Amino acid sequence: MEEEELKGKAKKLFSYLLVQRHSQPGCKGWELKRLAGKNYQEILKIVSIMADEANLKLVVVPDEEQKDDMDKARYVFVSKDAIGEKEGIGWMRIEEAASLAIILSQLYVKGTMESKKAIESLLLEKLPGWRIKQIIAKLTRLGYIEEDAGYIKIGWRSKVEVDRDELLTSILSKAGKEASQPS
Amino acid sequence: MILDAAAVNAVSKIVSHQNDWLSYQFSRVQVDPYMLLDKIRSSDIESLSRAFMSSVHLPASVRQIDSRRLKRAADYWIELTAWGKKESLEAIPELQIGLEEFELLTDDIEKELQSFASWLKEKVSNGPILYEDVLGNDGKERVKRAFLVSYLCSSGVISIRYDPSTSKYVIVQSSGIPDNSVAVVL
Repeated sequence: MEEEELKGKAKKLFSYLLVQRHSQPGCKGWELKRLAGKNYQEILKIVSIMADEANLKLVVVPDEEQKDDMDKARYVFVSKDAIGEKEGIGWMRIEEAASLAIILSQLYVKGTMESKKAIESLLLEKLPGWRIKQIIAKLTRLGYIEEDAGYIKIGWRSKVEVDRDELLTSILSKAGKEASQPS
Repeated sequence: MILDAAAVNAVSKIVSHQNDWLSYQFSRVQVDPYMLLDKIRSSDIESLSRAFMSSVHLPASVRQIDSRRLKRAADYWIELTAWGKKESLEAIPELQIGLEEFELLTDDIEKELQSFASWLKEKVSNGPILYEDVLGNDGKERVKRAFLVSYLCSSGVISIRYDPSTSKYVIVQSSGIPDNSVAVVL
């Protein structure tokens, strides 16, 4: 394939990935395959470089059922920079963000799934019971977590937006220190 | 024989989950679960929230409107006959002014909130309903209902929308994302 043709296809995939066509951002691998052909994975390497220049990162979220099938994986651009401690997310309250930090950190270290009761009992150390129920319902609705037969799993949105290693490092390094610092 | 097959199937699922878990653990940074739990317990809500915010990378996407929705929006806009025309305000009726103490107890409000939320969700499942109808006319009940509605909106259970064609507020099913700010209109 010629260089110009590769660049043209990469540009096409870049704009396709950027424009949201479904309720969830990004698109599936098979959509990219339809646009760029069988070797779309090679073209995605060029797309990643283009994204890097725009301060973006291409995130690949494997399909829940068939993790090795790249055609069924979801491809999403995310900002390379984290939101930051001062900015925050407008529609997420402080206790909701803290609860999500607790839930995700537990899911990350305990194997992507944890009983709802265990999560609730841990959150009860910080928040009242009625608020916990509301928060879990809201985080489920927003796609950050998923509820399945009394168990809580990581939702599609956390897989896309949250950097596991950054969250765990942040909790271990910052959270404890800040709390112990005298005001 | 069937029971044996079911047992073997269940065991194989457990082994498969263990395999997934091990693969997952070896692919990432290793963290001691007990140390993490200690850190969580010793941290306050604010610092945990900050830890979360510093690890969130928002998706970059551009939302667009398709031509069908654009046409529907244009048709709706054209049908707004009262646009720009101010309705004359009615004279304010004379009211008897009085103050009454009104207290919302935490235990009561929790129960009220649950029953009110399920009642309201059922109502809006059939279509938008007028905010004014939900409040009712009883003064004390009206204040309480306005508070509950605003709370449910900010929690993302329901949403309030302004209908410019009727100049009235309607309560609709939640789109998923909670309303940022909800003014209590009495």
